[in-house]
Amino acid sequence: MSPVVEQRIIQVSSIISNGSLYRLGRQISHVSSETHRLKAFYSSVKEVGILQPLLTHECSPGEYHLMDGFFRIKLCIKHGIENVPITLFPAGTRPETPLKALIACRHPWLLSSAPARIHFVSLLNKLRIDRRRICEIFLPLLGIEPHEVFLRKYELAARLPEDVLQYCEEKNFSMKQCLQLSAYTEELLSTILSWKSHLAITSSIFEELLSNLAACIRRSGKTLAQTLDKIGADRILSAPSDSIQQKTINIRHAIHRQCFPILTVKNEKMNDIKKSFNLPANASFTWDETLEMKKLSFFVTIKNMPEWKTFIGAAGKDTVDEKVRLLLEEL
Amino acid sequence: MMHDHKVPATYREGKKSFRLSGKRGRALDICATLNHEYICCNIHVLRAVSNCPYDCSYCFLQNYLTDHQTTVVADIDALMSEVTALTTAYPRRFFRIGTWELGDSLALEEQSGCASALVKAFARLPNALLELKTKSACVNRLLDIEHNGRTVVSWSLNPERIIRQDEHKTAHLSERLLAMSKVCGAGYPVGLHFDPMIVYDGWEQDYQELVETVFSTLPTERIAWISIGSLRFNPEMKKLIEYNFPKTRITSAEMILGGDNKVRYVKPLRITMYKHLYDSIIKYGKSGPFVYLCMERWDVWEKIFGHSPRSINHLDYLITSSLHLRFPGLVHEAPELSLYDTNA
Repeated sequence: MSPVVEQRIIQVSSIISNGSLYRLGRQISHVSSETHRLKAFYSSVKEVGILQPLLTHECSPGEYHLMDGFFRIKLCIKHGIENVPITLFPAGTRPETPLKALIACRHPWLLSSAPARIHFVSLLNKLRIDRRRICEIFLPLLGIEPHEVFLRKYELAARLPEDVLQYCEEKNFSMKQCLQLSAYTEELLSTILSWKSHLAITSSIFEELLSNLAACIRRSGKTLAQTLDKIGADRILSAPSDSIQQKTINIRHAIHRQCFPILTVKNEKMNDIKKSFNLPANASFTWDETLEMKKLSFFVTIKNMPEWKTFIGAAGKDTVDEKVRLLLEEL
Repeated sequence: MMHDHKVPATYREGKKSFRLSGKRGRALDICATLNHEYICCNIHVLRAVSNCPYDCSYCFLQNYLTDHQTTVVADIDALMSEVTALTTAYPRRFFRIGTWELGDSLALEEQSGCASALVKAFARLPNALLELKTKSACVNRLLDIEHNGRTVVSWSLNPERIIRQDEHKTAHLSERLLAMSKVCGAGYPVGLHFDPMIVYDGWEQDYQELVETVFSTLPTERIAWISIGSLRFNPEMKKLIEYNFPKTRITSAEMILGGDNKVRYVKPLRITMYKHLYDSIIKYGKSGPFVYLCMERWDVWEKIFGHSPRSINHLDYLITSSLHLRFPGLVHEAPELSLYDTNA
């Protein structure tokens, strides 16, 4: 069997890293979070340079695209290391060969990260690998069922804007979650992502904001800008005295009001009735704010008999009966 | 449609062809919710079809079927042996048995003829009736066969706007109405299911007109029952619907997660919708067909009808009693509440 790779030492500056064809997103997930290991790695690179050759492909003569070793090359640049060992797939190599090698190098990461697989499928398409070959050879190597339907799903997710895929990578979204995001417009996704610096957006809040805003837009037939204007999003996001947490609460609440107008009005009416109850401070009650369950749940905390008597006295009034009846009617 | 033995990978691919199959596993079960606050009509379901050539945006089959192949069970004897085992075990009870749980009862009838075979078999049973529920107009094979009044042919009904936008490939309303007239003329009782009601701008007028159109087509005495329900689906269905049907607006309404783990319209809206439809129906007489809510809360029943059944068994009894009164000879004996609702 003739060798398909060459071992060389070349200048770091001649390797294409950021613009590499093989760059799969941010390439961050494979980097171990084990601090001690990282420290040892930093110190080793600083002292002796790169020991393990970087994997590269000479996509066209003289163009060395980095395939594996993005973190290492970053360290080389940082520490001024000029030459590195590489394992090179020379120009003219059939594209499938380096791709298989890349899967072998990055297998644990590719298997554990849906965004990484999405990037990889996108790469396969960029390299114009035959669809049948993708289904039969590459999908199984990536842990995906070898069927056109699944390929299409990955291709659909690959259409997500790069910043959204990056977010998916950061939050370690599943394929299902990534695919669900593809149902939203690029404009909506990017707008909510742009709020990241103003709000505390967890992945569940991200999904909630998307879902509720998309529902408002679908229902009203208005544009995103018109919808945000109606909600007063700019005012909420730029409120100078509000903390990030408060802004997050406010924007969620404003969008929720827009998305659930019937529930909002009903709950406000019920809250008005609740305010007029005049129950003792040790007693309270709640209801299911989705208004689905017809029930009121009362809570009372007592430490002695007089507190109990006070509660019974207050709760037993006819006016309270009437208000309970009104609330039950609303439910 | 042709017989095809390649295994389809998706439910949509599985809609493109169908095959006749034998009965696999238990085919007879009860169509009932497990949550006692949501009341079902306690009909039995006979899994005679699986998947469906139609493509309704709200259809739960999108994330339900593991075997996507559309199949129609051709082994009628095997199906009927389960039915007769049940009906002979409880000879004093009357059973309603539908074939629509996992697909349309009649969509493939012209090619398969299996529903007609079931109609003939049910004609001989003393204490059961068959319900064939459809969004099709495929009734021609039913018209000249012996049914003995023991099959109710039912239609799932929505305004034409919903049919065009969300019930893809199904028969238009006018076609369904024509088919209704045909089966009525052939002596079948007819069932009406205004379910799932869907909210949109102008729904009030459209549903009112729908009721008027249906009641001007059918004599009320031929209507066995009327059910009313609204859009509901499993939570994971929302995104799937939006993915499979990017143009649909049905998921954008004000919806919450119900106690039965189904996403549905908020209760005040459901009540408004049901009241509106029920008011349109009772213009044609309060003593007419039995009207019930499908998979709805007891308190919603109370807001619409002023009362609610105690349980799904009680509702089963109420429907049977209505059939007994309105279709003499159909129910073999006057139903006794204690036979249906053991807690009565």
